[in-house]
Amino acid sequence: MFKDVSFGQYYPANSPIHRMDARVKLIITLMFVVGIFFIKSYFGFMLTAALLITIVLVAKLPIGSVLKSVRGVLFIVAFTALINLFLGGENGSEILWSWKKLVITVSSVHTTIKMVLRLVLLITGASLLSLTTTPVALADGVESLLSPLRLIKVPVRDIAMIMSIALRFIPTLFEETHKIIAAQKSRGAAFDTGGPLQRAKALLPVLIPLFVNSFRRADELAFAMDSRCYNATDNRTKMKVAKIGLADCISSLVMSGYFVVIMLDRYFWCGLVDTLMFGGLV
Amino acid sequence: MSYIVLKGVNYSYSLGEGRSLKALKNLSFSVEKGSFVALVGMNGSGKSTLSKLLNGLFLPTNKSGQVIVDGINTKEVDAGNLKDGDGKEITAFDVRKKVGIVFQNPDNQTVATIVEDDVAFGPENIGLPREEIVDRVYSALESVGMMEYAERPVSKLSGGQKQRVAIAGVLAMRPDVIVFDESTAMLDPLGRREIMSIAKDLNDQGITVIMVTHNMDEAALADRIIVLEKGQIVLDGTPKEVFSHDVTVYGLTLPPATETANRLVEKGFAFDTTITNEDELVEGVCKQLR
Amino acid sequence: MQAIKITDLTYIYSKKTPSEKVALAGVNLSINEGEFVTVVGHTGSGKSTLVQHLNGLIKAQTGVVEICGIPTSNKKNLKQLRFDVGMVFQYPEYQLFEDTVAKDVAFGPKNMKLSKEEIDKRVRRAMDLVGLPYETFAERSPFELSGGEKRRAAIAGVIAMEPKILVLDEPFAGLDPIGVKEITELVLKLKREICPTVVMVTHNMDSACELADRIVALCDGKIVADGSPKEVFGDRNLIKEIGLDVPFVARVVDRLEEEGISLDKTILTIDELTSALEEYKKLKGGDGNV
Repeated sequence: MFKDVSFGQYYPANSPIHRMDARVKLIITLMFVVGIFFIKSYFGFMLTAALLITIVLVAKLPIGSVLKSVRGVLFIVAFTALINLFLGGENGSEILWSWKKLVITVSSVHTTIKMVLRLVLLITGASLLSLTTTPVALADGVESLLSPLRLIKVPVRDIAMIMSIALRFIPTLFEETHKIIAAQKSRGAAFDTGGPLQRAKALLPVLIPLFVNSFRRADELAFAMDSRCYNATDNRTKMKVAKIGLADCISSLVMSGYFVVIMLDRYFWCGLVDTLMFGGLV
Repeated sequence: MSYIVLKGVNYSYSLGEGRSLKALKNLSFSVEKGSFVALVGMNGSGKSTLSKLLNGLFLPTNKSGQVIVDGINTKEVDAGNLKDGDGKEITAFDVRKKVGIVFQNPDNQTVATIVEDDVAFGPENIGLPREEIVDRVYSALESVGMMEYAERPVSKLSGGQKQRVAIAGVLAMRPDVIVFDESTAMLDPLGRREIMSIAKDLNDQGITVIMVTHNMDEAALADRIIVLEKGQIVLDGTPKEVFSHDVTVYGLTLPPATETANRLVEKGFAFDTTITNEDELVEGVCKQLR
Repeated sequence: MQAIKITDLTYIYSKKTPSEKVALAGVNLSINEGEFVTVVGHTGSGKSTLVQHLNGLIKAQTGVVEICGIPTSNKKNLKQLRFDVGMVFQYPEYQLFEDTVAKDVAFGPKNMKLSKEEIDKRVRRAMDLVGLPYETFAERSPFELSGGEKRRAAIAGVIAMEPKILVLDEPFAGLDPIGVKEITELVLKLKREICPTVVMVTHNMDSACELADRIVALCDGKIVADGSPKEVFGDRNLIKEIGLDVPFVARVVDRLEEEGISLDKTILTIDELTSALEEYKKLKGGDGNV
């Protein structure tokens, strides 16, 4: 059901993570996303998982809503896993199973497990940002981080506004898509039969009204914004002014520590921790 | 005192290729401060166009047409040649601060995902200091009874609640006039009643209310009803005056109470005045049957 | 013959998650061919979930839904089911997509894989029925029509499939009084000429009373009342308990009773009310002379 799509939707709660400065959260998330691609050891993944679980607990997020964002991309994860399982093995690795040209080896199993861990942790980590930060704060954060670009005439404020509105309309458009699909199905439209071309064509009865309605919405929204004196000048003020607080300092330190450990594990310890922890298994 | 004055206003939409559609024709009327005016008429009568002229979103398309809001001519504001006492330029924002509009579709007028952020949008735009914004946002949310939803996402609210947030967004600008442009049309009966009762409360607090509506029961609550047909005013008066006419010729219906009273008159009943609501109907009938 | 038979239908959204919500809880309902049934209930009572089961848009979790004797769980019959049960959603005009009205109306019949001649015949018939004559409207863009015309074009798109059962979700939403009247007449006409069985969901109790032979009231996913408008609305306590609006006429009857004028509680139309009052006056007049 489309109504269940909650990826990127803010979950209100009163926690230090929620109160953190959006700019700090944006930078930390960026570090996290970069960091996770350097991880090659199970130890690294465990550390990341521990970090995320800690954040989820501190932020008082229900596990369900965190896992929901993973559910949304489960297909992609499964697909990647399959590809890796059959094609990800190194030459010379012990063969576990084979059928014609498809081969599963010990190393491909490891690659697959790591790939799945990486994707799931990546998505969970990224969704923590949007789950704990209101879109307005997020847009303000982006605006503030991008503000040097204003020197070269980039309309940073407008970009931030566009971002905030886009996030605001995600649930509205999902709901609308769902309604239009239901209506066209009721007129006998089929979305899951025929070849790729036919399927693409079958989407037109959904996409056209969706676009037409979006333009209508944009029109009405523009009137509503105009009537509430919208402008992107320096005269604008903000109700919520972000301030760097204790939580921001602590989390920056924790995150930097995490990053350093990840790098050490990758380049100096070279899987030593894995061997110590799991012995001959790895 | 007249707060809004329209003088000979025309408005045409350009349809391209030199063709145009006349939405309003030579419209003149004024709205008293503190009044509750209902603007009715069938679809395409020009009601929504008119409401957008009231805060300068649209400007009269004829040279002589004028819309004057609290002494400010919306056309001159746009040309940028008005100054206030201190020599500061009066801008379109000064008009929009005075006249706020709550639109029809609850989904198409909130900008922010979270209720309080959306209500803050207007005050942020006019550059108020932070403390003042906070103060206005919470008092606005309080007035529409949405305080407990301040930190909730707008998308999870009902239609009526979304409209209440939209009203709060307008209230946070501390306007003198609020135009409800068919703001109840897409709501269920409960939502409608909520919005009407808020409109009534705000009017009691001195805010001028202009209610654009199809619903004759809602119109009957106003002090004054203006009936539009094809861009022109065809009736203008108290509900009693307006509903003593056969408004069905303008594509409207009578409020059910008026309809009932009219049928009763055919059956030999007699009422002292034109009946416009349930209370009057019940009272009038009781008088004759006791 | 039974057009619709629903047995022990239960539906739960987001099953086994924290946001689990019971939309339908053990619904049993049979609707005979030729009936006009209105489903009423406040927002969130399960009305929309119920009607979306009728053409298999929502699959029954527990319980059985049979349309003309065939269970909707029968996958082979799903396509036919969509054509047998015509579904007009709220604001159907927002689903128009083709570049001409005729093409849009033909979408359903085309999906039915009918012959070109048959499609053409049906499109003409449907457009004429809804009051958009083929000659004038066939080649026009649906996006250029007026609001009321758009809605009728969208209804024509459903009617062109010539369904046996017509389901309408809030067909009057957002219309002006004339529009409401036109759609009311249209629905009655469609029932006479195309689909003998009609199920309508509405918040508008006056329309519900005016149109339906039978009213089914839902509250928290359960059927709490089922009967003729007179039976259902005659039970005022129940109506208030489940949060429905008491129709205008019934409200007046109640108010008169408080004032000591007792009329039949099942009076629902203005005609009945005025006749009853005339009667009452005559009797009272007789007493007065004694």
